[in-house]
Amino acid sequence: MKDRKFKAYLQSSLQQGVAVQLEKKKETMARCRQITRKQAQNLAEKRTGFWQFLSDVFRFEGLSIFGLQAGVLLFVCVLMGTIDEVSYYIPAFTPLFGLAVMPVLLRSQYYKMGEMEAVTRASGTEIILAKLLLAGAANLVCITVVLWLAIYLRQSSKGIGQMILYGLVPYLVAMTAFLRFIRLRRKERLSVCMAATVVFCVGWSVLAKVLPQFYETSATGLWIILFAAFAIFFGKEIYFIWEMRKEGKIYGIVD
Amino acid sequence: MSDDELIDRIKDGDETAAEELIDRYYAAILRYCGWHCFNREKAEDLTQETFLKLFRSLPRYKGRNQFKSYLYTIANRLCIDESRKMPFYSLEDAAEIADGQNEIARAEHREEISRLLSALSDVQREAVLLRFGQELGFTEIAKVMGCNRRTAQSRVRNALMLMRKEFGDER
Repeated sequence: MKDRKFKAYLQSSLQQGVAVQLEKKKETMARCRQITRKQAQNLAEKRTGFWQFLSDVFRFEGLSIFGLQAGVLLFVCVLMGTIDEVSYYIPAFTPLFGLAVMPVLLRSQYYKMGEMEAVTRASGTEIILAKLLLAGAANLVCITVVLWLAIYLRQSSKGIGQMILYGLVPYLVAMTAFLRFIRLRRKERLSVCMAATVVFCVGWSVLAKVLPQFYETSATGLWIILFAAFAIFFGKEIYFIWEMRKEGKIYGIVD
Repeated sequence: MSDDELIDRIKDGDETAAEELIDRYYAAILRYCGWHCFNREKAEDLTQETFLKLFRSLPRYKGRNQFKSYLYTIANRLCIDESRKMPFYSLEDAAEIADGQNEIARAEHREEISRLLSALSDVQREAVLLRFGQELGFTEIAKVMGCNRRTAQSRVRNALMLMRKEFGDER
């Protein structure tokens, strides 16, 4: 007998039906239904999913996050209207959007509620992650508006790719620095973030005013490298938060 | 509806889903247990016990499309426990498993298969029953038997060789 035929023979022989005793089957069903009923009475409360949690955080923090971002955006738009070569100044504006997130992130520490947050059902780090997600979305909208405005003021969309990098690289530098300050500094986190923002903004403005050649001569490649490097640093900080989120820890040091 | 969807509904307390799941696998598990028992009543008992164990452990079942191997692992463990009490069912009992006079031909057929299966080691027999009797994939067989996929494959392959030899000798 050929191999295939032998296998078919085996299959048909081993799959010969055994007559099912309906009474026994009904009894099995009844007993299983009983188990199901009993288990249903002791059903554990379902855990909140992350998106549900995010919408809850949004309910409490959304107004502060988006309000602050809107305020900064208005300020930046007014300022942009007074500047000539606006694309060189984009790097000086974007760290402001990062700074506008900090009061919301540091609120629990400010009100000495960090430890309380750490022992809630969602850890303090998970709350930070949710706030960062909301703030990140707001930041993205604001930076896009800034870029649109820059294009409108220049009456040209030439070099848009480079302008996106001018916006994103300083933003990533600032956000990475801010997150590290929150995580590693014991005190004065908001003051340090503000000081850093001043340094970033002034630094980029001086570069735009005194050394515009930097923007003219630096190839897109340099900005892409900077973008990749800081995206990795920023990604590492976010990954750190992601890993910590289920450990019930505070993001940062309790003072 | 997939097995995992049914189980999600059972976990939420849906009793009709429980019945549907039993309906889907009862005959297959009975057939599987039938190859491990000396009589039909025992096979029915083992089948019932399999489903009771399954339902009791459902809250711990994590899904991920592994239901078949999960169910057969329970049945397999129960059958192993049973086979420790009793030897692999004897050929004389084959007729008892068959249902009535008109089933004599099937019993003879079964007798022949039983003779072929008896030439195999326990693990080879198990692998053949799961592969050809229950149409499980090698990955599922490996999970049920607690070995890796290649071991499951080689068990089936070696079993087939032995059975073919036995089958050839008979003719």
